[in-house]
Amino acid sequence: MEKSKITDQTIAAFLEGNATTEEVEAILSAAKRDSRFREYLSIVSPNTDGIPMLAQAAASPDDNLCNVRCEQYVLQKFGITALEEELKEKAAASEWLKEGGTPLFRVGSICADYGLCVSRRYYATLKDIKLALEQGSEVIVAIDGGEIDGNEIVESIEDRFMGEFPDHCICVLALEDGIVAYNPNLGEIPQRIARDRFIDAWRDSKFYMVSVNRIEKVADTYSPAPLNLDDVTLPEELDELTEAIAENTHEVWSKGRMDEGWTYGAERDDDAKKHPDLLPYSSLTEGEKEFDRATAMNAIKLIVKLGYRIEKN
Amino acid sequence: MQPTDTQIIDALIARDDKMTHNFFFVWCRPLLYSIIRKVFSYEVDYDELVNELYIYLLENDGRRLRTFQGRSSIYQWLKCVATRFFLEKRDGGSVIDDTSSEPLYPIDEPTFEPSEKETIKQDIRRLLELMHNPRNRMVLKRIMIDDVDYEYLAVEMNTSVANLYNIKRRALVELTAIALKEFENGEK
Repeated sequence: MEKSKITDQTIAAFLEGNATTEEVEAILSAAKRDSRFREYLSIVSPNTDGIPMLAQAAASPDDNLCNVRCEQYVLQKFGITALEEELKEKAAASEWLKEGGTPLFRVGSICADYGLCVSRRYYATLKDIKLALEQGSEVIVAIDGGEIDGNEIVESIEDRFMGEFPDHCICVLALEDGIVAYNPNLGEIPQRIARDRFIDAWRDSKFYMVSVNRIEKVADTYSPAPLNLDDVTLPEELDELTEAIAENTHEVWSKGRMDEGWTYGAERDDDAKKHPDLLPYSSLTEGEKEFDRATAMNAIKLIVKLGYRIEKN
Repeated sequence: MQPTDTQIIDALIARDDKMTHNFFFVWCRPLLYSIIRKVFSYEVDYDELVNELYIYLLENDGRRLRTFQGRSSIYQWLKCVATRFFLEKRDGGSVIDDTSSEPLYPIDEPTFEPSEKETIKQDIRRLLELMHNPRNRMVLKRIMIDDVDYEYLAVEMNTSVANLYNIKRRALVELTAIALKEFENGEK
């Protein structure tokens, strides 16, 4: 009988979806038996899908300060002067700036600390950038820096075999034929980037955009942009988790209200601190329960979308 | 324009200096650098390691390069070869020769008991149930469990065979991630 072999070629074919069923079985069997093979397989396997959250905006191997510089640039636009060293220390002390760079959800934290209003979103569009600029906001986007400044062949290999991830931040100054940007790697001289090239680079962060403005300028135009989680399908076993979280959410909310002196009342009365929902979860109307369930469901879906897995012990 | 995989292999075997430099020290630098960072927890010399990898691949008139069969892109293949090479270097062992006639992780079918084979199939069924993405799960189930033909499944899914292969690739990535976690937990 012919031997089944797992060679580098087999693994490479497996990673590109070209392995036969027998080869997949052999690879998984080896992974089950051999911890060393598991290590090998975990290194060569690409990261699973999920939107980048901890991906290192501003994490080039040489310098991880581009987010700090972008935020310093934005602060200057709002008339706030701060030294780079000072901002770097603040960001490091607050753990916004880590050794591997700045996590995406921390981009803008320095500006927020200076009292500016920071809005973050994934899957933004050029239209969103245009609108933000028209409203007088400053816009920082996370990109794969190499796709703007680097070698195209290297970047295509990097995207395909290592995964797409952002490692750089720039400020978008204007949208013209292409994009005019402040790129901390290039200093104060604005960089012109072709539209397609910018889109390719931006795609790696799942079109992550941070807009910064004074709160009085955006309070009236605030438009919430929660992530679209329609593509996330939760396994059935998470249904009970959704219900448990929904009920606990209600308990937390009720306790908070009661600690502030609120009590049950058939009608809501803010002056008398009366609320009709200050009842055990089971006594809420289905409409109220659905609200809590939707909150819970969206939280779980977001966890999955961000690339985490939920496991029961 | 980027050369084809065959052009790269031929040029490397012919010791084309420009191609060798571009391939190992320009185009694949981030790829190899990323592997090195994952394998070694301490500082290593990139150029030295990649030089050793180059010598390893080129030994015996590029015998190892000639084992590339084109079942994947050359970069995917290099990723696998380089990862194994660096792991062997790190662990101090001699690098196992992969000529594709000597399996790296031999699974000798005669010693592969039918019950063991059934266990693997059961494992796969269990892992499939743990997959989050229902389309990925369905595609692997139809291909691996129901043994459905690709053309037939593509028609059933109203998609192209090429797209089906793409879905299968992503599905295998998800399955592998789950398997690695499950097997690791199983050993604890």
